[in-house]
Amino acid sequence: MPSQAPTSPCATRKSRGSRETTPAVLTGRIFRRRCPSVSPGTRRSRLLRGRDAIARLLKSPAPPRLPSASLPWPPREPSASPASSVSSVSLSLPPSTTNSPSAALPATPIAPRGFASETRRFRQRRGEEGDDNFARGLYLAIRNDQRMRNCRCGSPAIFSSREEAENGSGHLRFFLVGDERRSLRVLQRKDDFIWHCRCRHHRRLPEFKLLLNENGKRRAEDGELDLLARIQESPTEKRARRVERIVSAATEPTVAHEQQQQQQEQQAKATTSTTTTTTNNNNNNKFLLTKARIFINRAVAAMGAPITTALAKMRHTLGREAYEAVDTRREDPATGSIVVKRLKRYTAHPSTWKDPDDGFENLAWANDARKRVGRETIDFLLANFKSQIRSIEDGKLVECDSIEDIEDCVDDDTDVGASIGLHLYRDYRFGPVDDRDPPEKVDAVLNKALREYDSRLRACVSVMEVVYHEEVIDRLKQQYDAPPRHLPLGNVEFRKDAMDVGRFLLFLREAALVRPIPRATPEALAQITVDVNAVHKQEMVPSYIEVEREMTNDMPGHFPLDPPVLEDVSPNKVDVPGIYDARYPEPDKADDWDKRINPGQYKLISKPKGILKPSKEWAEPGSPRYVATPQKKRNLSFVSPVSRFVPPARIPSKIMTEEQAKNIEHRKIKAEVLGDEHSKKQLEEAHFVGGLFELRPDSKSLDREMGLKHYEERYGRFIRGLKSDMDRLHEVEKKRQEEERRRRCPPRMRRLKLHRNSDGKLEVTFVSPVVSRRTTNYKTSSYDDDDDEIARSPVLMNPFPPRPSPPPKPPRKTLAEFFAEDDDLDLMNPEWRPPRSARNLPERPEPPILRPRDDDYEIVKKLYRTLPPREDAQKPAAPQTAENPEPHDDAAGSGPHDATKEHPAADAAQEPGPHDDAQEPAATGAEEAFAGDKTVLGDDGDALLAPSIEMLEQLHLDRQIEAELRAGVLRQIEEKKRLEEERRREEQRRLEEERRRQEEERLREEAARRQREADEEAARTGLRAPQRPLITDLSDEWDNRVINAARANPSSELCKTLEGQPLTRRDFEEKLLPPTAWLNDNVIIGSILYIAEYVNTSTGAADQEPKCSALTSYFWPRLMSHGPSGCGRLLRRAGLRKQNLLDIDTILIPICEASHWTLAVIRPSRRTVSHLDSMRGGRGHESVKRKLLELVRFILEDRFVEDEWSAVDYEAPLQTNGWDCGVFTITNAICLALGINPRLAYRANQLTLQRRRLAAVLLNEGFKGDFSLDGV
Amino acid sequence: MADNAENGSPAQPGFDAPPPTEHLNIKVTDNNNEVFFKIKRTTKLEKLMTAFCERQGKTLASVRFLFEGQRVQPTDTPDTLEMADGDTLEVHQEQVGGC
Repeated sequence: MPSQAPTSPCATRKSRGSRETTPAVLTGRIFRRRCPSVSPGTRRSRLLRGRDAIARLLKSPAPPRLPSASLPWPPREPSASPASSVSSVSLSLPPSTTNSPSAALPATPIAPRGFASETRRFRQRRGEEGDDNFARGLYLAIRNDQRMRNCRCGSPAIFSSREEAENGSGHLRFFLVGDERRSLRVLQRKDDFIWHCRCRHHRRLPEFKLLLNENGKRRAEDGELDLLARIQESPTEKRARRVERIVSAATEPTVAHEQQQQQQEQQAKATTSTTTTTTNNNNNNKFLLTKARIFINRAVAAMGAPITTALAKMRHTLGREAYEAVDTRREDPATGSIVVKRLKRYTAHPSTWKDPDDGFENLAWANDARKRVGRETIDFLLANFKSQIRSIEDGKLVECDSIEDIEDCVDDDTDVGASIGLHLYRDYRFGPVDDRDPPEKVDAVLNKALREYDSRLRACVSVMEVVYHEEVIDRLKQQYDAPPRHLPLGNVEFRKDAMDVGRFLLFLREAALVRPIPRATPEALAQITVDVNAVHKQEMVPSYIEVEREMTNDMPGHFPLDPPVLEDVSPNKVDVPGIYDARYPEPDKADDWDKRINPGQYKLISKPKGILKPSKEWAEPGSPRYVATPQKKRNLSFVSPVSRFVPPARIPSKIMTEEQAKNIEHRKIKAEVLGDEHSKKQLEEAHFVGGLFELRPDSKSLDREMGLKHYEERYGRFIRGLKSDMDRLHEVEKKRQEEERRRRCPPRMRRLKLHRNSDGKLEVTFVSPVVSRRTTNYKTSSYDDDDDEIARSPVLMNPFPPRPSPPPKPPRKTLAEFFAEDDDLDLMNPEWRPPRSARNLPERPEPPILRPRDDDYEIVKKLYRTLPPREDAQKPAAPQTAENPEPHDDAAGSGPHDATKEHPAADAAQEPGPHDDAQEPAATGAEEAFAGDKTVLGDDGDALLAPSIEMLEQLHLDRQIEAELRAGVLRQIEEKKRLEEERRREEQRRLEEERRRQEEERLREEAARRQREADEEAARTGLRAPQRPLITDLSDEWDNRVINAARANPSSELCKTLEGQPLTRRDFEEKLLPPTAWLNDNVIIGSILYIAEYVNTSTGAADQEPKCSALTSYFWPRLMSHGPSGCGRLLRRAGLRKQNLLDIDTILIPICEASHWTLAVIRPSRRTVSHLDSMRGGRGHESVKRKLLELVRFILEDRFVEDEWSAVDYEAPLQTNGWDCGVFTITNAICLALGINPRLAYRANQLTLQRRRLAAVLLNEGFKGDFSLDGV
Repeated sequence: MADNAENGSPAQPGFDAPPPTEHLNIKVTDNNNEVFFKIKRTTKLEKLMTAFCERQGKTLASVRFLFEGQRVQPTDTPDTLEMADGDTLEVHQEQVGGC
């Protein structure tokens, strides 16, 4: 029985006298671990030694330096072509050989053995692998790991030399060595805690997880067949045999597989029961298992908590996935097969136990409700809780930044235990305090925590007093004959309180984990928790009954220590029965397979049936559903930044910029150094696809190329180990720094008090400060002066706003020193007078005579009388001691002050005066005489007072003069400064003015020049600059209409061009709107016809006498194939005749040749022909111009005058991508039709917007309304 | 219209010829295949176009029918295009261009 276990912890501590107010449960002080810490001095010296070592290393002749240390990464090879460099590198860096170029290098050890900057793990591994392989492997493993996690933090930097690496940052630093810098090395800095990846993506992407884990699943062994499966799946044995199961990867597939087989051989026919903990990694080492066992036993002790919580904590503790399960195997004699029955004990909640054989039949009432937990323990806990409640009421709690600070409070007014309890509770409930939080928030949280803490303590007392009341069992016996399973106790509030108590006790237990307390207490707490949990759930309270067996054996999740199952299992032979993961029999649905399996919700697994795909419909041509150009449906994105855009599959190569190409070249070299085949291949492809490749983590081919599995197996654990080492070291370092900080600055402390105000509400008062501390080094003067005031008047607000430390006062100077400093000031000149006083005051030929007033004498007299009769010679220098200067000074100084009220500066300057005097015997010889007088001051001092008063007067006079002089000096300095400042400002203003004028001048010239140029160009080409921007944003309404057009019914006709050609969704969605779509003829012709229409309507030209005429894009092919004579019909339709041709301003001819849109323009009124190719920045092809001239000649016949006509080129924005030529063509057409210079009218980067505008124009059926080109 | 001669129609009947026959033979060609259709003067050419597309396994949206360089709309009829017997409809691919 556990009841005998707890012995009261307070028994051992009764004798502590004055400490009795500090109950021991939470008093960490007594049991506080005082680890013998390394003193900071030694630590620093150790560090220094480490640095010395580095310095020595760098200075020593050792590392062979490369010729140019500042060579930028990557190393450039001036001569070798890429192809040759690849081959040479692959020769020099075979991934597997160890006698790589490094062998040829002089031996460069990364660091001497035992060098303090490396961890042992790192050193050892490097020794095993060899420098070269190690660095490369590590780097690739890191890169792979990052890719698999979809981490964008960037790979660790590669430094170009060892020196740079030493001076760089990062925990792991890669650098290059070797004559050609073709070898990679790595060094580790133990004291640098910057890990290369700082993102939060710690989990692998599911596809990689599957890849690394053999699809994440394995077949279940026969022995793992679930009895339930057989029963449920099929009545016939034969079919059941076929039921296959796949075991989740959480059970480490390969290892577990082998073990299963071994195990089965060993216990072929035996009936065994195994209990195991399964973990997801091959962390089958003894350490973890021991840890797990300890944890589980703790969880058992804390059975008040739901087991899932315990499991979650266990997972947290172990840092990885962990489940536990119990299997029973048995051979069925009838069928000869092995039957496994799984006991899902650990998931079962007591209330859901359906097993009738749960032991409740043989229960008997216990004699004493308190026996199981232990009377003394209960008494002790109750006393403890009550005393804590009292402490809270009395305001004995203090709050500091850390527990250690609280522990340092030793006065009787402080309940350290409760204070620590509160501190921990606050952290437990509301999280640790963030330094950046505003003080109000911190206070509010503390307030809440204290109130809650108090109410929980009270609940504990009330609930425990009821539950463990002496008579409770007697009463129950009267009510029930035998102990019932269901036992309602108390009303609803009481049960709710019980729940709160259970949670609070759990917190106490957890606090106990943090701060060790006697073993008995956590157990007792756990047992009480179980009891109150039962109260809460209206179940039989375990303490009220006697059980024959040990209670804990029946508790779910309990691992018996005897026989020690877990410890006997060799780490290599952990039997992993596996958790049946059957949620998704279809593998393709199992995308969230890595989510935690909810224990107890196992389903059956059947063999994957294959993936059901919808059968492909192959429609015959001609059937209504036939789609002849099966293009992948694209998600359209041109408005919202959210939507995706899928670019065309093949992006032309010419879009790669020079910079990109250079970048790719660099990366290629890097890949060569690393021997990274995958990247190399990718980069070679980049030549063709233009560097816009993106890694799509996908499939096993990636594994083959990148060696994901290979590197993961070799380095995965190692890297994680390095990381955990680093974290550990970091932790230690942080702790050290924290310690340091604590030592340096005194903590903030305050006292807390809970009381009821007049309304009956609980109110927290923060009182401050706590001065008495064990360590006296915190007692600084910052607490002694004005803080007393706060202490006297308790306020509800934070009495400790973060106070800036007072700036260090400069050492006081003597007057002489002060004057001596400024030799500018001719203060020592007796002729000098303070200028301001001379200005403000009436002429004063002599120093004013200041007489102390009568009452001043009285005060001085009184003061002297209060002095003790006998004093030492030093003591009477009373004004210097801390208490006296103020009254003395005030009393003595009030007279002169009145007289010199006109000198505010003098007032200020006087203040330090009295303090200075003592250190300045020369200035105040009177002081000594004054002191000397006092020595002879007897009981009857009045007689002797007169000369002293005279002295005093003299003193006052001196001070007055001094003050005035001083004020004068200050004024003089100020005056000088002011003048200086003014001069400076004046100068600055002048400079600024100058600059502005120049700037304006320049701008004016610039504008004039531009204007001139534009005019010239306009005269030359007949094209003017636009009056307003051509391409402006679309209104929301039009945006919506455009979007709707792209989503419309595919077969519906959205609008009609002038030609009568209906436009459908396809034209918008596929051919116009995507930023990289290639425009089709419908869009081009439609737009160009609208341009002509606009020009003709705006100029009022008749149908057959147009000012601007447009031909379709099919005109050009016909012209080429049939010649001008074959185009009569088209020319007629466009209104081009011999008679009117010369009156036409512009003829627009879109041309589509070799998947490229260009624009041919004839401007008959100017007698020019031209061709605009956006790829050539507006210039055209001579052949096209020749053809145009031919056409003109054909139309004009005898009206054609050869000399008038010329072929010209216009300037237009240059197309730099591979998809915008259609838009360029249309926009150029707009410009030329309007007589605008295209170069000035738009820019190439506006064309994505222009696509949408064009779509809107087409929907608008012309350049009218919102899209009118008037005023351009 | 002054330039009747420029009309490249190979079988232009005289203006004073009797009204054209009820049925026309139209050749549709896409340079590889030639298909002859016999249609009424008032039949919409859409019918002809879809028939041709079906036969060739193309979609209507991806091809353009041109009559003497002029695009034929589905609503056109031989009458509106002033077609004559034996005229040819050319089938072109949709013009697309980007670079």
